[in-house]
Amino acid sequence: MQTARRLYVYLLSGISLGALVLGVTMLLTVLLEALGLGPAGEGVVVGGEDVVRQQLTLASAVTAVSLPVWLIHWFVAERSVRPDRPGASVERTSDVRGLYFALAMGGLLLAMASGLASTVEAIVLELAGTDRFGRSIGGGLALAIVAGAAWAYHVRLRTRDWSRGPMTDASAWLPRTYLYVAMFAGLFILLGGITGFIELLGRLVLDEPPPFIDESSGSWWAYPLASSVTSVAVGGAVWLGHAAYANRLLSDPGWRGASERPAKVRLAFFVAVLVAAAAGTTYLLGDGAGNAFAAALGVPDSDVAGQTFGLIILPILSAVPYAIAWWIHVRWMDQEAATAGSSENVETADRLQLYPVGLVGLAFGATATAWLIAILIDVALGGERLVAGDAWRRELSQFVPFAVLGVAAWIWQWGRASSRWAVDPIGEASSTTRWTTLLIILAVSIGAGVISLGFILYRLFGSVFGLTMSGDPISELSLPIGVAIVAAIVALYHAGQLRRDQSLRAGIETAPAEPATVPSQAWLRLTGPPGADIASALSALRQHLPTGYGLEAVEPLERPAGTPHPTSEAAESS
Amino acid sequence: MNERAPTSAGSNDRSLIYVAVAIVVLAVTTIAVVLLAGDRETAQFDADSPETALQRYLAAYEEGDLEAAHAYFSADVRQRMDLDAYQRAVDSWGAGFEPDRSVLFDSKSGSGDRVELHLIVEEFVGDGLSGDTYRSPRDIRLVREGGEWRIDEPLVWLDPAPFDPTR
Repeated sequence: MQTARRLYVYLLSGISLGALVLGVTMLLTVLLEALGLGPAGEGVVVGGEDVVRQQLTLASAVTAVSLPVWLIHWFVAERSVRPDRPGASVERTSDVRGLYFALAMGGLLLAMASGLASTVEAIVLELAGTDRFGRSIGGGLALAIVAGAAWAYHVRLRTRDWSRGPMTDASAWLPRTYLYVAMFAGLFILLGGITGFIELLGRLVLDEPPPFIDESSGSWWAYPLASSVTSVAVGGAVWLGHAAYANRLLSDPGWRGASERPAKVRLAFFVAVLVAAAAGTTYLLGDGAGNAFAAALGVPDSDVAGQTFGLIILPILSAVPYAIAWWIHVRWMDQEAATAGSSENVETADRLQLYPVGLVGLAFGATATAWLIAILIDVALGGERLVAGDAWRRELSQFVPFAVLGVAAWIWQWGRASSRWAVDPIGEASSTTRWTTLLIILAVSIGAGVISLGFILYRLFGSVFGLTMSGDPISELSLPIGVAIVAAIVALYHAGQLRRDQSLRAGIETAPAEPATVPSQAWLRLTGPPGADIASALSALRQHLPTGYGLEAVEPLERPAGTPHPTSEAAESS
Repeated sequence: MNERAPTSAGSNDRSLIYVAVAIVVLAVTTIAVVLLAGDRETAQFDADSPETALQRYLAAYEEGDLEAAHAYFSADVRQRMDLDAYQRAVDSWGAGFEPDRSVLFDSKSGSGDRVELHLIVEEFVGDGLSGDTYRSPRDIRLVREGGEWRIDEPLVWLDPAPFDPTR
C-alpha cells in the first residue's frame, strides 16, 4: 500500500519536474535571446515574432500546467519525510525515494551538462569567429541554469536526508550508483577532450589538417577546439565535482563514511574505469602502431596522404591520458584497500586489477588473432577478399599490433594471476573474481565458437545440398575458421584452469565433512597474579574437565625455575 | 556532518514557495520583455547589397509573387529553371504545411562578384504542446550580374529545388 503510494507520488513528481524544467528552460531561453543571446546578432532577414511568440506560448502553457502538479506532489513527498511525521524515517530511507533521487539527479545532471556544453561550444565558436550553425548561447545557458538549479535543489535535499540518519540497501546504493556513473561519464568525457586537444595541437604543429575539412576556410581548428574545450570543461567539472564529493564521503568519520568505504558500487566504478582505460590505451596504441606498420609495409592511403607521421604519433600520444587515468585509479584502489586495514581488501583489490584488465587484453588479442588467421587462410588459399591490391597488407598492419598488444596485456596480467595462484592455490581458486573471469571467458569463447561453427556448417551443408551460395567460399569461411580456432584454444585453456580450481575448491568444500575425526577447539587465555604457578593451575583445571576434554598450553609460559615445559604436560583428562 | 538536523518543516514549505515565486517572476518578466520589446526589427541593408536582394526575393516569395521572386535568380538558374518550371516546383514543394518561420542573417563570406550568405532559419514545427522551435543553417550563393545581385542556385523559398524542374 505504502509502496504504491510512494510510486505514485514520486512518479508524478518526476514527470511534472521534467515538464517544469522544460517549460522554464523555454521561458528563460526566450528571455535570454530577447536580451541578445540568440543565434545571430545581425537582424531578421524576413519573418517576425511568430516563432518567438509560439515558443513563449508553449513555454507558458507547459510551465503553468506542470508547476502546480509538481508543487502538490513534491509537497506531499517532502511532508512525509518531516522528522515530526510518523514513519518519516521509513519514508526517508525508502527504496522508491532512493530510486527517485538517483534518476532525478542523473537526468538533471545530464541536462545541465548538455546545456553547459552547448553554451561553451557556442562561445568558443563565437570567439573563433566561425559559423555557429544556429547554436544559441541563450538556449544552452537557459538549460544549464534551470537544470542546474533543479539538480542543486535535489542534492541539497538528499544531503539533508543523509544528515537525519543512516540509510541502507537500495535507498543508499541507488543514489550512490548515480554518483559513480556521473564520475565515470565525466572522467571519460574529460579524457576524450584531452585527446582531442592532443590531436588538435599535433595537427597544428605538424600542419596536417584533417582530410575531410576544407583547408581554404583557414579555421578548420575552430570546431575541434570548441569540441575539446567543451569536453574538458564539462567532463572535468562533472568528474572533479563528483570525485571531490565521493572523497569527502570516504573521509567522513560518521555513518556516511562507514557506509561509503566498503561500498561495492565504488569498487565496481574502479573496475569499470580500469577496463575502459585499459581498452582505450590498447586501442590507441594499436591504432598508432598499425599506422606505423602500414607505412613500413608500404600501404598507400589516399585519404591521408602525407600524414603518416601524424597518424602514428597522435594516437600514441592520445593513449597517454588513458594510461595515466588507469595508473592513477590503480593507485587509488591500492591506497583505499591498504587504508581499510584488512588483508582481504588488499587481495580483492589486487584481483580486481588483474583479472578485468586481463580480460581486456584477451579480448583484443583473441579478436585480432582470429583476423590474422583469416588473413593467412585467405592469402594461402587465394581468397577473393584480399586479392585486390594491398588489401592483405592493410588488414595485416591493422590487426598485428592489436594481437601483439592484446596478448602482451593478457600475459602480463595472467602471469601475475598465475604467480598469485602458485603462492596460494586454494585462496586464488576460491576467489569470486577469478571464478567470474574464467566463466566469462568460457561463455564468450563458447558463444563465439558456436556462432562461427554455425557459419561454417551452413556453408558446408549448402554445398552438400547443392545450394548456390554467394561470395567466395574461402573468404566467407576464413574469418569463421579463425574465430573457431581461437575460441577453441581460449576455451580449452581456461576450461582447464576452471577444472583445476574446481578440484581445489572441492577439497576445501569436503573439509566440513570431517568433524567426526577432528576435535572441536577453542583458544583460552589463562592469567594469574605475578609469580603465579600457571602450570599447577593448568594441572588443577584438568582435573575438573569432563570426559573427552583436554587442556594444553600452546605458548611458552614464564614458569618458575625447575618446572617442566607446559606443553610437555599436555594431557587429556580421562 | 552526521548530527541531527533541526526540524525544518517550515523551511521545506518556504523553499517550495520560493521556487514557485521565482518561476512566476521569470514567466512574467519574459512575457513583459517580449511584449514590450515588440517585434524583432527587420534588418536594413544597403540597397545594392546581396542581403537586400535575398530579402526582396523572400518578400516576393512570401507574397506569392513568383514572377518577381523568379527574377532574383541568376541567368544561369533562370535558364535551367524557367518561370513555369519554378511554378511547378513551388506547387509541388509548397503543398504541405508550412511552419511559422523566420530567417536570421548570420554572416557573409566570399568577395567580389560572388558571395555566400550564411543564414539561420527558425521554424516552429508542430502544434500545441507537441510543438518545438528548430534552427538550421542555410548557405545561399549569390552572384552579381549587370550590377545586380542574383541568387545562383535553384531554390524554392530557401530550400534547394526538389528536382530538376526542366525535366
